[in-house]
Amino acid sequence: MKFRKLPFRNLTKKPGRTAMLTVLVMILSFAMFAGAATIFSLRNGMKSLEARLGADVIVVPVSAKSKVNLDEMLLQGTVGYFYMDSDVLEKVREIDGVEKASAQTFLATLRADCCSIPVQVIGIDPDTDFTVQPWIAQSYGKPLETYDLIVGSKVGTEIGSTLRIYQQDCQVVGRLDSTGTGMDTAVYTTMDTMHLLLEAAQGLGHDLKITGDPDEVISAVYIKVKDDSSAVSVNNYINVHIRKVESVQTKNMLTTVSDGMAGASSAMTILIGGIWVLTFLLIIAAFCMILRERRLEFAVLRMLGASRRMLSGMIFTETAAICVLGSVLGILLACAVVFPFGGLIEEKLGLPFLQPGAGMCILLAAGTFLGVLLTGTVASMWTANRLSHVDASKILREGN
Amino acid sequence: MILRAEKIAKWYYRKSGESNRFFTVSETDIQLESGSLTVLMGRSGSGKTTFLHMLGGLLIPDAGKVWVDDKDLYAMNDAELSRYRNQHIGIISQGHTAVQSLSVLENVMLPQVMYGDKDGGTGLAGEWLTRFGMQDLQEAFPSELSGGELRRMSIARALAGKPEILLADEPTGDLDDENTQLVMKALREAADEGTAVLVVTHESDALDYADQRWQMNAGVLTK
Repeated sequence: MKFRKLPFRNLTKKPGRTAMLTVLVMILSFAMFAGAATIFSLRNGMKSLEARLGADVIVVPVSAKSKVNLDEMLLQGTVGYFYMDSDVLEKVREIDGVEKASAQTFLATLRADCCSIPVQVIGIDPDTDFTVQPWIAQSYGKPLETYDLIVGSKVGTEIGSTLRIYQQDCQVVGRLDSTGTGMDTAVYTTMDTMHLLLEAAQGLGHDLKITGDPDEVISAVYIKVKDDSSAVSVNNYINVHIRKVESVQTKNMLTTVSDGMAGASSAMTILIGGIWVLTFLLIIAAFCMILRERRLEFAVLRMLGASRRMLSGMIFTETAAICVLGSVLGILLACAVVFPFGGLIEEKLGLPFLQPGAGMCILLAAGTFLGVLLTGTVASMWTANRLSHVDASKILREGN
Repeated sequence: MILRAEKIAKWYYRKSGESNRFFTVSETDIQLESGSLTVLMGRSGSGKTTFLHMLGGLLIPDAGKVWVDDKDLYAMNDAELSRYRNQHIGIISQGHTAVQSLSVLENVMLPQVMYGDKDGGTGLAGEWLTRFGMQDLQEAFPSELSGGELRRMSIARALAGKPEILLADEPTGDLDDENTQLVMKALREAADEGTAVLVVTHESDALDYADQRWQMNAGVLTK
């Protein structure tokens, strides 16, 4: 028998007391880690969105607004489609201050026999695209051939498999890294393939509301404004001078998302803070309850020669053991809830949600662990002080 | 080793009464020497336990000093005094003083493993438990023991450490006649082997084993 094992014996011989304290610590640890991971995921999603959107201004047909929620479609990947004449692209390119402009064409597949899965298909021009192509190039180094597809990270198909879109067999040749944005649920292909798919859809009788040649339509124009020019001016110019289109500044879209994220982050922070205060008070209350129960035990240890420091050390060791166990369980539980259900959280919050990498997760876990350990130690300080200063003589005389 | 109390006293303040100050133990001198067994008799509430706790380093006297050889017990800091009590003074307290999370054998070994964290004392602890008829209860936990068994366990714990000073507060309070004799003989043996033993009791049977006899009445110690 060794004296340093006594704290652990105290814990195992009082399983109910130990379990109660461990559960309290676990709740605190869960709240801290899950909350922090969610806040970091939202921030990551926002950064990813800013980085991947790339465009300062987006031009869509006026009719787009009545068909889908533009913010949701462009930022969150809601399935939708709308079309305008491709000459809009040329008109935009001629505007002063436009550095780059590239068109994209959208098509939504259906949950029907003609299509494997319902996804947003986006046709891009690999030569001019600056919003998606750089990320495609990272995942797939070769040029896209006809009927080649690059899928977003959340599209449930394997590379090398075939996706059937309006009865056209398309080959999945690559997958993009996770972005936490609508890009994750979309499928990318070249403009040529997109035109073939549009024809196929029309051939199957689907009314895409395209007037004219399907080869001459686009859905949106993404614009990068020159550094010395103003996105506001370009945006306003398009809205005034190009007919039947609506120009939207992405900054405004991002502000909406950013506001949502700030709100969610604040709510999460308040929630974590509330849980922290509540748990801290509960742990203190639990230790106070233990105080009376253990007075005689500590008086006996004093009588046998234990110093105040040894008794404080014993309480801190017990607290540390409970905090280690509780925080590890809380972190594991949080991992089991936050990471597998990241998609659901993203959907419910309606915000880009990109989970932090392994390194950041380890840092968050370490921070949570230390935070919980510190909280437990501070909460037990008063009890440790009271117990180590018990009036052993008085307690032994009274027998309790 | 000589334990010497020099004019030690303990008092409390009352809000009412003739005098504000109430003496639990009036100014008292006593000397406990190696190899002698001292019995201190007195009625309940006469101040015996308070006196014993002051001698054992558990209760700071309001006046006077407690010397162990040339060491002033209460001049030491908490760490020094605690260690000194662990290594030189054995205390048998009233009531049940088991550590509930430890087995009987571990309880008896506890004072010996408190400093240094080494395994030790198992043999002597086991011997004392056997002598007190508890050899089959070594692995049992305190919650499984009767009051008499708990009392014998705490006496075995004090004796297993071979203390130089042994302060026993009503050591036979929960025991039947047979066990009372067994315990008193053990305390007498400890004294014969060189321990300075003080037995505080209100049972006159203990006087048969005593070298010195004291009486305490209302905090006043008399021969």
